[in-house]
Amino acid sequence: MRHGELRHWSGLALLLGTITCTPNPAPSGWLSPPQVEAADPYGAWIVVWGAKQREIRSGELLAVTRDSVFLLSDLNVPEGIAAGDSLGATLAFYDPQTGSLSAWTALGTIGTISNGLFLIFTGPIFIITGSVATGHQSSAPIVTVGPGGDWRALAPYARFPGGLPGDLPIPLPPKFPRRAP
Amino acid sequence: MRPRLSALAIVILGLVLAGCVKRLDRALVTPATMRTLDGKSAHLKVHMRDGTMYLLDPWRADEALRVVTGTGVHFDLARTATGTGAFTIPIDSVAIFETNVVRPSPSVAALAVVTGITAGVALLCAANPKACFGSCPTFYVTDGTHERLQAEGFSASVAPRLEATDVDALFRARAHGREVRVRMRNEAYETHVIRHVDLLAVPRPPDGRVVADQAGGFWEASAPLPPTRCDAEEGDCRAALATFDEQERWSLADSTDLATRETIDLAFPAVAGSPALLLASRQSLLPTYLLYQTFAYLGTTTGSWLAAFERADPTAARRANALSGAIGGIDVLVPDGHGGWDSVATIRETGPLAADVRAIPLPIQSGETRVRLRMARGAWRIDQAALTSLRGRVTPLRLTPHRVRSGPGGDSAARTKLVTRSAPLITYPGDDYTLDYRLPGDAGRYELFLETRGYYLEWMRSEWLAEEDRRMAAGMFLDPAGSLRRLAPAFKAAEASLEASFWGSKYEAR
Repeated sequence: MRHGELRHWSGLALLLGTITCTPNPAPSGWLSPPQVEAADPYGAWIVVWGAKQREIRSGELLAVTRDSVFLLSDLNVPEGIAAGDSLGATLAFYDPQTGSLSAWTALGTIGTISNGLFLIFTGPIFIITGSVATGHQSSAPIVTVGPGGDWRALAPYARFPGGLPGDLPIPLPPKFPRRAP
Repeated sequence: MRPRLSALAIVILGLVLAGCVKRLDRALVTPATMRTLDGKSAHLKVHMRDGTMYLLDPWRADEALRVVTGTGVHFDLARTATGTGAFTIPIDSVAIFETNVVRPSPSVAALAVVTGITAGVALLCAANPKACFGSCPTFYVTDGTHERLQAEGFSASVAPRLEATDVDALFRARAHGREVRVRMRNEAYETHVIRHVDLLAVPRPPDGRVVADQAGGFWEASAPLPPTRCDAEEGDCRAALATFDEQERWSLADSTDLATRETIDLAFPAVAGSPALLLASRQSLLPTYLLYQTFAYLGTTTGSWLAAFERADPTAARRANALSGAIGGIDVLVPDGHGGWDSVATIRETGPLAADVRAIPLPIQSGETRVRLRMARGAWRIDQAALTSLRGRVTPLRLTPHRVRSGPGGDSAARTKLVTRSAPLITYPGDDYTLDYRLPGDAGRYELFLETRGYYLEWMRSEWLAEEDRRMAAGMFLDPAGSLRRLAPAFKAAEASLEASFWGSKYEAR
């Protein structure tokens, strides 16, 4: 494989590694890598969506009941949303760090040369496996409940997985102070 | 030398980078089941009934004293730290426990293998490259005594375009109680993309079985009757085909043309009602050998070819299946009344791992029921051939797994994917899931089937790349009949050791 072709394949690998990723709905910097998020006391970032997956509300997931979710609104107050048959939700509970895998996919493809030991680094095969691997990693922290689904599947990722306490302080401080408009 | 060293440096750097990629598995545990807390979780979050939370590291759960002890931080409802130190927490005040286990991402394992880290099974693959273990998802269910391989999902779906739904009879499953446990494994160097795994259950009649036909229909059927005559090239084959007992009837391939046909003539006593042939069969390793040989000929262009296949028009896509068409399935024939035979169906259930059971409706014959099976020599292994009478269609109950585990704790993310079908569950070599289903009544009262949907991707073995030959690859698609003649000598040389090499090269998770 010539050098020009290698650059082509490595660029394609990086691109494919990105476009096969599942989009993370959380704002940039809101989530941490798994090792840090394991000790985080806050809930996951949730997006409640309606028809055509248009966002209705998003924020930190506070609690879940059989037919409602509670999230922290922009005004730092708990807001309940009835699940209903037409609403779905997607949450992310850690940063999957797919950048490393995308970089590895691209690097591995650069390493493809056409002699001896490294024949296994066939560009297209590395791209396929690397892109699938990156896509797999990007979707690992994502949980989705479709319309009509059981929203209790989201409970483990809430700030209060045991249920919403009755005497929450209002306003409830967010994980990160919101920036002034 | 320089390009090789720089490539090696890039790979090592990549491995270091990707070693940082982790995955987080979260589980909730109620106080009543605190003994199931996952000890691999470095931190324990103790969510109290009043909404406050303790984050403990280290921690210890004492079921006898009904307390949790540890060192850590106490957070209020606003998640402000209100105290640090050693805590002893009575579980009566606990709403729920939360564990978080950080594990290496399986994606790293995937790339690591492609990067050239091969397991010891490579020795077996090197000795017999076309016999490297491969399949699709494998499913194990108890037969009442042991966990047994009972199904393999969507065996023919080796590319995204070939994604398919597959229904397999769990004919020998004998679960107890209302729970049916299915173990799903990825035992090969493959990526499996799984949409759903549903259990289908039909109440079993007291004097019969429930069977599936090739069109996806389910039938209540009478107890299967073994053949009164079974004539094959080797002679009387009644003993091998009488019952579904892993004593299979099989043959060796023709040494000059892998498409050469053979026949088995069966006779059964007459049955009342609508007769149907019940066949338990699986492919031999011949089709697997041909598939892997095709990949070997494609070599470094396999990825390009797979991408082109995805974009191909239907005519071109059909050509891609020409070789499997030349090998063919099991033709089921009945007498035409003029000394000849009419074909009533062809069984094309793919997969060399687990025999599947299918019912093929037959026309009513006067007197005994005669059936001829015709297939490529050496391509099929038949465990049972029986005659049954179809009594009427039935509709199965569809069950999704109520619990999915990939380790000691539950895997709610995997369950959500399989149940909501919002995203596929992707598995890598060594992945091992336990799926639990709950029936309305005792499992012994139901005939069980497994419906799966998905596709899988074979990983190129380094041993195959040495055989890249585009002319031979083209022949596999454009001249399948000629290819089956050309490959016959090579296949015959490997045929005797294929089974041992295949089963000995399964991926074993470390």
